[in-house]
Amino acid sequence: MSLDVSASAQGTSPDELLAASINTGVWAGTIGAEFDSTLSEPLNFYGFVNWIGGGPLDGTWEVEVGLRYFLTPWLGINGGYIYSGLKIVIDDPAGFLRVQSNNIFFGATLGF
Amino acid sequence: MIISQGPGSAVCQLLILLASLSSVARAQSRSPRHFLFDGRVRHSSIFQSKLEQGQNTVEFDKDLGFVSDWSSELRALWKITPGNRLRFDYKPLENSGEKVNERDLQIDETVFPAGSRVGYLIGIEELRFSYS
Repeated sequence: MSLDVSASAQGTSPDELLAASINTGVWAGTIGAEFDSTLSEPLNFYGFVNWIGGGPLDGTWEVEVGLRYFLTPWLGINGGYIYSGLKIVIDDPAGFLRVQSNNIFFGATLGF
Repeated sequence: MIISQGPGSAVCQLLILLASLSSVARAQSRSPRHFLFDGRVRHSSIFQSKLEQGQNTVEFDKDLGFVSDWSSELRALWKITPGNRLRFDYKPLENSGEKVNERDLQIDETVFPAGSRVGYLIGIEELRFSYS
């Protein structure tokens, strides 16, 4: 996972520019549990829970449930829900960046 | 034969087509698929996003004008054997905005005085490889 967060501001004076940034790039390990009904029938229901940790990542969780429905043997549609809870430790100055979100998704699936 | 030409007829024809395709899929999908590729769009509703540094807290929605947004992502799944699979996810997310801040904001050692027009850019690029 690579994460870059930055913020900048243009002050009231045109010549005044304030900027700050937090940049974090990290490769982190992940562990979780997964359920997948089948990959061969038209309806494929799945779900998984992932914990992502290591480096600056602390207590980051992701839960996804979704389904795929094949309209033809090779083309289907997909949709589902994702909860994402991200917590990043910042060392200097010490602190945390927290982002929690609810997500819905939909799209197309190709299967061979 | 009477053929109606209203929008309801088009919907019926579409449903019949989908049902027919589904029947074909059921009939022809007895062999397992080994590769799946998902292309999808995702709408993120952020309900908490903040930076905490000591006594200082910056809330992205209230202080920086953070808004929910759409993004797109790709996923590839390779079912090697019935009990072994590899997954690859690519999830780029970029969100930006600006607003005039109503209070002094501190990020790292920098203070953005109240009344400044504050812009932000969040870029999260996630590549994930997993085996299960």
